[in-house]
Amino acid sequence: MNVKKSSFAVAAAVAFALAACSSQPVQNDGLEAARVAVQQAESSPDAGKYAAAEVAAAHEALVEADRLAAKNKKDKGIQEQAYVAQRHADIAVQQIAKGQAEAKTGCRSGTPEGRAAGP
Amino acid sequence: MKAYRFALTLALPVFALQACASHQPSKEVTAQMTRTEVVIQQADRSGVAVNSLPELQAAKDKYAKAKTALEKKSAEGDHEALTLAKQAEVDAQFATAKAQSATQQTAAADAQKGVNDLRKETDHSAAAPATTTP
Repeated sequence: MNVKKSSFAVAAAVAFALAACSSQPVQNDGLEAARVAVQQAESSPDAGKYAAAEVAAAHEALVEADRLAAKNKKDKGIQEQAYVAQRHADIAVQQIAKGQAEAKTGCRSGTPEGRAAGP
Repeated sequence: MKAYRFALTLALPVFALQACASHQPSKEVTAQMTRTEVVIQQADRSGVAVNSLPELQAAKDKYAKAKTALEKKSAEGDHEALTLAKQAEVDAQFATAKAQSATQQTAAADAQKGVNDLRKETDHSAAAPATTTP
């Protein structure tokens, strides 16, 4: 009886272990969304002109997220870096839109002194 | 051997006391907190348009949470604070960028409208040169 019970327990444990290995959900939606956002920002023809620093920062955060994901898919840092990458890509998109509008007007206006690109 | 044991008994309480003593957040955390605060202040100052943006409110909320996390005075709290402060920084930067881009786009549209109006006016006055406008 005892032997039967313990063998059942072992079988169950093995089954659980296998289940954990096989169908591990890839919970990195944030990372994939960030990847798309960064790629879109990078592919804008005016990216280098108006948002080089932000695009670089977005890219850097994305690379860091990928590096963490390669080590451990459950690392909390992945989502953190993905968030930062996403935001830098968002900022880049806004800076590009602003730059294009500036080019249209031929001058900069409306912004308080010395606050052009931000850090 | 005896000396070793003696040193150990001395060292242990010292370590224990050190752990109890007030926890200091790492330089990385304090630097990030300062940076975030500055960016939020800049966003606040960059005009009315930015104040209504939910991203700036999110940044302020996260910064407040980061401050609370720091009060835990633990490594875990510091890590939480660092993460929140980093997010708050980019949120505030995004709010600023969004507001500036909106302002610039409005300016571009206004300028375009001004050019169009002027063109209409010159066309009109060319057609009827007698009318004088002050």
